Amino acid sequence: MNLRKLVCPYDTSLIRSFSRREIAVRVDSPLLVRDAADVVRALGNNLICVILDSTKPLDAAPLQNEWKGVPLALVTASVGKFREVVKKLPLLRELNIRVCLPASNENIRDVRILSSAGVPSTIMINGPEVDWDALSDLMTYSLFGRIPHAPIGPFDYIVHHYDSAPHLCWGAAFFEDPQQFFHIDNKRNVALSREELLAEKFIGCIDEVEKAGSREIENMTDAWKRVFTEKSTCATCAGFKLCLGIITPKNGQAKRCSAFFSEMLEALEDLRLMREKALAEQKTWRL
Amino acid sequence: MATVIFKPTEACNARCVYCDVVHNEYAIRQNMSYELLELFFQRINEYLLERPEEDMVVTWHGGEPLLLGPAYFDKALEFQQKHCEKTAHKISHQIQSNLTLFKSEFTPVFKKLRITNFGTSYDPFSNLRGIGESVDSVLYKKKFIEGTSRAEKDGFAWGMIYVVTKLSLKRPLEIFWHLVNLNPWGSVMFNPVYIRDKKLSHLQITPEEFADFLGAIFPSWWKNRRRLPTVQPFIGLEESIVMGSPSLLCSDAGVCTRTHFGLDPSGRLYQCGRSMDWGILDYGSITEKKFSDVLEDPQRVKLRDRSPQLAETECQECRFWDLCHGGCPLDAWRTTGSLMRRSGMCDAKKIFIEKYFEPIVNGMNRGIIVRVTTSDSLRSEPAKPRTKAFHAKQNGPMWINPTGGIAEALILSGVLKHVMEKFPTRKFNVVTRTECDPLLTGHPAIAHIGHPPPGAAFMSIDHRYEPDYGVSGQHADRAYQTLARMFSLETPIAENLWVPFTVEADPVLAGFLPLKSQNVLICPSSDFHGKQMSTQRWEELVGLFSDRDTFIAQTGKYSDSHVRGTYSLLGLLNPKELISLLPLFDAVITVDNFTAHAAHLCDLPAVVLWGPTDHRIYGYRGQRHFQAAPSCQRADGCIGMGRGSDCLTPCTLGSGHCLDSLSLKDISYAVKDILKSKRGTVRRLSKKNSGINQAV
Repeated sequence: MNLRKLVCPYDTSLIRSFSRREIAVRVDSPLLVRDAADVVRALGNNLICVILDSTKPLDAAPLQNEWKGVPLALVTASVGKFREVVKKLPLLRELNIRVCLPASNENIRDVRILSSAGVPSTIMINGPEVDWDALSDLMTYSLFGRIPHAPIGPFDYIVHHYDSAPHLCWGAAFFEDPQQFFHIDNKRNVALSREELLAEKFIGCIDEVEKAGSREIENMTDAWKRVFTEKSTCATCAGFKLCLGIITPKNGQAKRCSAFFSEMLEALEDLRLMREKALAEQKTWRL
Repeated sequence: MATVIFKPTEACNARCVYCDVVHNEYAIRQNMSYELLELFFQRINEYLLERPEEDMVVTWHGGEPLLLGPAYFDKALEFQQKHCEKTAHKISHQIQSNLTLFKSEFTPVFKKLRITNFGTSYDPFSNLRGIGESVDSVLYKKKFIEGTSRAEKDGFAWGMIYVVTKLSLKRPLEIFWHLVNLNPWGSVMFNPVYIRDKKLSHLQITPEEFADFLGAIFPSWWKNRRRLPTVQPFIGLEESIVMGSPSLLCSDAGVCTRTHFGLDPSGRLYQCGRSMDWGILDYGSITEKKFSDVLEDPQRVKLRDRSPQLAETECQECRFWDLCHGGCPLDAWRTTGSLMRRSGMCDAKKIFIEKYFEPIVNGMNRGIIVRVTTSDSLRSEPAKPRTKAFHAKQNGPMWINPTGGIAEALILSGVLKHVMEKFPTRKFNVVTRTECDPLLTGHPAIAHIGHPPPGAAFMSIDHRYEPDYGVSGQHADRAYQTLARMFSLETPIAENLWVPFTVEADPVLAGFLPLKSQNVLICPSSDFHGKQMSTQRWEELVGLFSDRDTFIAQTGKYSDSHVRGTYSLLGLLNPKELISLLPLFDAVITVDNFTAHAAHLCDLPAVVLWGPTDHRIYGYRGQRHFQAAPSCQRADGCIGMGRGSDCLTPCTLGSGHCLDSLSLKDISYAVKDILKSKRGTVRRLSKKNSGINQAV
């Protein structure tokens, strides 16, 4: 059976009820980061990361030295003032941190700067309201930029997991993939996404779900097929293989997201071929 | 390997409009009896024992074979185990189903029969495929998606056929992307509809329409083929033509009389599934005839003469013979009334290859042309020479990506002028390049310069990929000639560089430049460091012919080192302005760069200094070439394909760089010689550019 990774709140009794599970623990206060990491590890689980939902922009986030050694996803709305962020760069580079930002125009710009400054980040694409051209530039920078830069999600996730045959659910870069992640509440109820967790749309208790399986998981996994029976423009999109209809464009916007995903697929194929070529070249001995 | 198209039922839950079975009033409404089913396996065993070298493929067909239910397949497995004890390993089963009835109850017996994949059919848009008498296409799609999902979960692969009808012609790309986005584990195949019922003639397509349908899809497939499912007929043509490993379907292989036969629910044996549906080429009953008898039936034996006859008659001149062998004899019978004629759908293949496949494939994989070399050629005499077909007639002009620099753009412009003269209606689109656009804008062979749309058909013009490009022994295949051949021009051809504007001296430049009685332009600049001579050497050279009557100007990029003793025009001129400047000068001294080509364009005497590149490929007759001998130990040289990273770094030999070994005295003598026999600046000032250059 495929044991899912768990995304759960920082609740000691809840975490104690799991053993040898991979857990991403969610906290809403910087003061809890270190404690949450220690608790997950101390109770015999494998810590994926601590997810800190910050109400402050990155420039105002109270980064702490004691976070060193804690894999941290800092979810925030914006970067803030760079003149403040610059002061924190030495510490940011020492932390095992990934700054997760929604895909606003400012954030797309700022993520590039963060990346070139050596700070890993992730742009959370969750809707069609994105400047696709800017995102395309960011993707190109992420995948092909020659100067050293920190990884940018979800592009680094996609390029790492891309295979030309099956479909790829890159929502996992933000813990959104029912094949990989369960979102758990304090009462051990399972939701298949962060959104469904907040809406308390549960599919059952984790013990039952893992024992008996769930029709909802199958439905969600097969959700991409719905576009073929509905009259959706996504079904005929050249970028569908990557988008899988997750981004539902509004009228007149389909071409823009389609161009982005098509371009990314081309980039991924190019990278795959480059990797294959590099592997082939490794077969030749060298000094 | 023998293949039996096995139709144990002609019943179907669907009522697809163009289906020959469900609308056939003579269709057999009863399933094949268990007695006949048992006899079928006895016959298979008998055949395989008679021919131990053979295998047999049983293709379950219909009607809809899943209507038979799992129990029927259990029975088949039972008979196979009972009668084919020694031959079962030589039997493989395939199944053609619409999958709308697939349930996991079928899975165990299918696994035991070693069925691993389903062939199916699908149509996302038209309402031609549907369930029940009402032809409910919405229900069909829903059930189809459910069926394929279930099949995948149970570990089966599936591929699908899309039948191209008149209704398909408006939206080929939408259909294509819809089908490949379903991500089948098998192939997607496009087949033309075959209509026999005159009431449905509005769905019939012509070979041209089928070719155009495929042609609309092909660029997208070709560009993305590495990440897409297998798509037929494209992959088959790529394997046959490009890779040289023929992969032909039954309709094209020309050997169906030796390999295929069909069996209907009543036990009648036919040539194949299609002949069964159409009621022709009936070879008798399974109760009376062994399979080996069927394969030697006089009708089949006669039909075997078809290929040799066609090769000598109708198809004699066709260079695609080995790709289709006259096509399906049943289709020939449908359109001509004779099984011995060629199929009309051969034309679709021919048109598609010539109009769409070759221009794209030849453009991207230089040197690959259709050379038909299948092992199964039935031609009794050597094949006629195949001509290299490369005359694109796309719906829109083919796109050209002007790789290389502005010098290559100048060569391209000249070659396109030839193309325009030979094929006046032929136009191209050109991908915009900031540097090259001024040289190509207004060219009569160019319809548009800009950004290509997604899926645009491209033609590569990188002549350096050409197998005959370069110097081999005494023979040098020049860039201009190679490029001309890529456009199907016969070579050798006059190397007339050409620009789509009038070349005349810029009056502004003429007004402010302190020209003297003798004027020399030098251009030490090149994007490739290996092609440059050191600034110090240039300064020494300038010193050798500089005098009070000679004005020497330097052109190049803003970032180039200034050669002292010259008047700097660095960074001031774009290519078009440089061309306008040249008529003011009496001589040019340059390395292998745009200026050398521009001097040829303007008929201006030039001294050209060559290092890692070869004047025999890029230099022009009439220019004075100084070729440095390679001084480095790099066997593969420092310029060429795959060594782009060397471009930006200076030669590692420093002062030992090949170009720095050239004799400056000899170069200065050549310059002085030109200036001595100075040709009038006035003459060139008024000269128009209209193919003014000498031929090779």
